[in-house]
Amino acid sequence: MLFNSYAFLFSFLPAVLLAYFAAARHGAACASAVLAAASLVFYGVWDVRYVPLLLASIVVNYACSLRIRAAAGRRRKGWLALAVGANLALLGWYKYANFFARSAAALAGGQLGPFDTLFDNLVLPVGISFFTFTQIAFLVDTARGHVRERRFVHYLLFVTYFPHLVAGPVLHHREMMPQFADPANLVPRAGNFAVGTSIFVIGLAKKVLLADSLAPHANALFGAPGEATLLLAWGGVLAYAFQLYFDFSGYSDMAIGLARLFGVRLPLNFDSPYRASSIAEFWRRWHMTLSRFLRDYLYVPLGGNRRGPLRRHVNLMTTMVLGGLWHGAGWTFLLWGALHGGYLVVHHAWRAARARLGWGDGGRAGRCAGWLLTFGAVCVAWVFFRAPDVPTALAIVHALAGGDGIALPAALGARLGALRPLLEGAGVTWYLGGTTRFVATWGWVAVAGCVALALPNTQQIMRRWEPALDARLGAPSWLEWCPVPRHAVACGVLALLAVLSLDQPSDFLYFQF
Amino acid sequence: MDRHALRYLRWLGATMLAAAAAVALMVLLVDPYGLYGWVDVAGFNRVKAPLARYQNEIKLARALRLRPQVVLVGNSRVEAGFDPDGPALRGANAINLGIAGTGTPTAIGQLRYLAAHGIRPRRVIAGLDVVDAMTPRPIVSARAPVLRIPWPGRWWQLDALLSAASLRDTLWTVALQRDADGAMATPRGFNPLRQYGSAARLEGYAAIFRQRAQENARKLAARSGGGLDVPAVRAEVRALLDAAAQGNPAVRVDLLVYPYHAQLLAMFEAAGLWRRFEAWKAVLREEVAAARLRHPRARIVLADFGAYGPWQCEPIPAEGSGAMTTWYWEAGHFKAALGEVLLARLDDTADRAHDATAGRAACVARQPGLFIDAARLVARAGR
Repeated sequence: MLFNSYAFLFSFLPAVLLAYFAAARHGAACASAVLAAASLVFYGVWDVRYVPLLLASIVVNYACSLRIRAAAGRRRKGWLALAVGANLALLGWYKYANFFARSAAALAGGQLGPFDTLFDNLVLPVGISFFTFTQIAFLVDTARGHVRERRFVHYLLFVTYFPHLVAGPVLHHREMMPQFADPANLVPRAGNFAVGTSIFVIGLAKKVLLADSLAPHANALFGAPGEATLLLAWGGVLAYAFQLYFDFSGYSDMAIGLARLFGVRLPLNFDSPYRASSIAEFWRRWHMTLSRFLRDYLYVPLGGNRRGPLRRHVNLMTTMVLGGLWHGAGWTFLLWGALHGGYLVVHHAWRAARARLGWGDGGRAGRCAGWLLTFGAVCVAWVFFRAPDVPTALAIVHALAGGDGIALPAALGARLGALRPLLEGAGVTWYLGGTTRFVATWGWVAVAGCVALALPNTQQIMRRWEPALDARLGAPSWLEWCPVPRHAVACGVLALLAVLSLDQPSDFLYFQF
Repeated sequence: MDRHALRYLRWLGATMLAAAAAVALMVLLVDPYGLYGWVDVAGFNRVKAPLARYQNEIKLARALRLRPQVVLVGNSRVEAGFDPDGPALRGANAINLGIAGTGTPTAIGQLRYLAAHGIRPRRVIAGLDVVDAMTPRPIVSARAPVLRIPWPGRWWQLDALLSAASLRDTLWTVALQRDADGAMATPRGFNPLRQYGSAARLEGYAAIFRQRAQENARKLAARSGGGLDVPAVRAEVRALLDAAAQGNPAVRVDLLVYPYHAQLLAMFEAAGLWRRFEAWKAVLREEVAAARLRHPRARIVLADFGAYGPWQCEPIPAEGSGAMTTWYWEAGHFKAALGEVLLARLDDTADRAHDATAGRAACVARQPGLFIDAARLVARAGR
């Protein structure tokens, strides 16, 4: 079920809210059970075939966690390795078996033969990456002795909790399970409804009004990149960069807002990442819960930065390449991860060199240059993230670099008057058709750019109302929310525009990961 | 907090309800789809934009209101080529149900829908497109024809009244009243392609022809290795003729093979599609003959305009020229002026034998460059 569907908004959500608070009168366990059952229904609407898989994964992991707690020393490590291995095997089977088998067959110059149908029919269960990672973190923390709350119903709810189940944020049990047990969350509170609804509306507007409007312009480039020239390529890539951001941060806002209706605070997942002036800062602001997971459960166990600069660079590359592969089994994701690993290595090397030479941060100009370089590098990497294959990605990067020249729609050229010969002198050529697409692409990119770069983000807007677990209060923003009628009117109009745009709800991009 | 929050939530809910009511009222008053007819004021909402959504549903809803005697069905060539308010059809209570990008199944659905609502027009003019019948891959065996007939449901009515898209179209309609070059369509379904007129003035007809020729070349080159879906053509034409004549015995049905411009015909040749084009016409002739037997009182005619003739060979203005065309916007779309000529030809019962070979020879002699250019475009698109 999609958050941005009438069925969810006007039937599932009200019914679950009523059932939850009615059950809460009989205690936290009862309320959690109702919410967990509703979450399974939410998941089952996607594909009921995978509900048993989800439940089996939860039961087995919970049983393993009990074994890990009960064991000590090497036996504990053994149980942990076994449980993590089982999770990775499950994820690997569904997510990577097809890719590796076909790659191996291609390298051997053969076919998969009788296994062809088997791999063709392998459908990725929605959300498997998220619920597997969530549970791996739980197992590791259990082995480290960090797990206190261990009631099964709360564990079940922690994993299945519908606001985050299929696309995150990636949760920590220690953040969530105490909240499910908190008696304060068992009664409906107008404050939670006001804050939660407002955050949800902002997220819904990001998805429906911005991301979905940008989608056709990104699709036009990545669907037929053969004719892209410099401005067409940049228009399409920027459209995708903003589409992905508003799609995913919109989803995260919706998840945070929905959870708040039940009194639960989820962690922050985005903090205006496109304003970052370095790639390290970008990763502190983009998909923050995944970055946190990769740091705590991959980068740090690999040795982090504790074993010298060379080892740190290797660890960074490994973490980012595996992070890329987590997004999908394909060479493009691997290259995307490797690019970001490379960016981070260059960033750290540059920072070290700067410190050695005693250079400052370059002041305002330096920060601007840093932002431009970071944003450009991120956009180039998005090409690999989005392109269907490596040759397509390389063709688009070639166009981004100006390798295919600069062309503008002829209809636009006919309206440029004296500017036209000047542009022609600079090497600009003209192509027939596509004027509406060109103008609309850059128009939407401009709107999205203003919102992403100039307007306060959801956290800043809701700063005084603890919008997320780790929200930073920060400086006051000019668009700060408070429960007054004029903000209600603004939010109501935004909500109506978003709701009226739901006639054809579209999937969230991160569902495929 | 909770007291303020409660007040906030009340305001938010009230705003949503009030804003929704305001949107619905605006849509009702401006009536961007011509569905309600509450207000009709020049400079406010009289000119309507072409339908971009629910085209079939809205056109059928209008047809139910108008109860037409003459119905035109087909794709964009019909939609832009025949004006129900033009000299030939004026006063005949005609409606143009042509919809861009649709095929014969949509036309069948429209006729069946009208029949189901008791509308039995005395005349049906149906355009048929050979490009729809050509497949990009060779036909390996006789396939069971699949006829998917779209049928309007009810959901669209609510969406047309209360949605962001209907609000956008409402605002667009108001803005359109002051835009003489803005795209519009008449209440009877004719789209005069006004935007083509302004583009032609600004960029010239050569640019429009060239752009569409590139698109057509790609489309045709992709079909050059394919086949002709004969079972599907037979099933569709049979269903179309039956939908027009069933329960409407005295109906007159004019099936049209579109008058493609010579540039497009030359592309058919260059892409190796001409034999399939001829085979398709033969199937149409057979199906028309069979339909005459099934519906003896109906007058069913196949009008073949898909050949080189004086109109089809209208010269394409040269690059940079400000010259206007009389008959064609570009090779795939003829103007309503030619539509009028075609309608007159349909009414003319005199049998005029057409020498296709002579027509082609005359066209080649008149415009040799057109054929060379068409071949070059197809070759480039096929690479």
